[in-house]
Amino acid sequence: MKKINILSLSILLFVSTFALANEQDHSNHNHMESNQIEVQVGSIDPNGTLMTVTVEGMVCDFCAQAIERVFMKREEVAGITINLDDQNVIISLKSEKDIENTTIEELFLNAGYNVQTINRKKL
Amino acid sequence: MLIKLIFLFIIIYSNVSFARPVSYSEGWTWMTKNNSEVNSMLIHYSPTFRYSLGYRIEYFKAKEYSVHALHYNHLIKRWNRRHSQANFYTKKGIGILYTDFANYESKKKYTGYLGISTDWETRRYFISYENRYFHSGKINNYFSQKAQIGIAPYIGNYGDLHTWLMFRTDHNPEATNALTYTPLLRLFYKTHLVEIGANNKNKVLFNWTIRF
Repeated sequence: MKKINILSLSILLFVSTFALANEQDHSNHNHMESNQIEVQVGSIDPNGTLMTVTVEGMVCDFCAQAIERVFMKREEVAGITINLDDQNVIISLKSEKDIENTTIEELFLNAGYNVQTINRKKL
Repeated sequence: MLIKLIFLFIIIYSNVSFARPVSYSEGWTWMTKNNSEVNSMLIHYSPTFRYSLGYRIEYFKAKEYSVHALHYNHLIKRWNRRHSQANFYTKKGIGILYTDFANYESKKKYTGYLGISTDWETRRYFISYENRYFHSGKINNYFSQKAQIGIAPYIGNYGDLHTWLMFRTDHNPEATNALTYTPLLRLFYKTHLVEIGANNKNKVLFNWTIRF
């Protein structure tokens, strides 16, 4: 009886997981077709700067939540997108605002992550 | 009445043991776990990503004792790589144990525990190990350890529902059957992480973590 219960549960887990997996793949595909510079939180300042930060150790949503919380508190930041696929964070800075690279690195370090590269693009 | 029900719910669906024993800076975490041997609950606050301090309640079913403890987790070392992260933590607590078990009617004892926890994780794979030594004078002293592996059948992005298939082995040298095997499903959505499984002793496991 025990073996049957464990086997049933295992089958249920696998079936439900792969059903979810298919759905997830589909939703990700749709997402990729949409405008890729949309931010997940906040907005893009059309007169500001887009900063792309490549980050080490960002492997799950808890990591992403930590980073989102840190940057959305900053008055220089208009919006943010965290891309776990590419291991980068896109930060939209408000016009006439900037955050120095050393500060960016320190903010990530204090959140528990390491910065690899920082790139800026003026909009 | 409502408060009593909420409290009862917390006690029933309680316990601890998850990846990331420390939250992000200034984050709160509520963790519960319920299995065949223990129910417990932990609420902790992380001033920085390095440590967390909280209050932990555990109820051990077989020996009918409960533990109320001040709990401290410390991230000793984190290894960040482009596609992976590894962590090494210590976990410790001090508190009071209450029991009515056998000859220990209405006894209470000071108690303490400590252990280490380590994990390695990519977006596809997960491995963890954790142990604990628990000491409460003459009432109960034990060592336990557990290991968990997992694989994500698909890779979700930030904000998606993340699913993990996991397998956990518990080793409690004191128990008659020292080894317990538990296949489980971990679901992770936004700030909620839920684990559901059933072990080789036909008992259900239910864990739930909320971060805020």
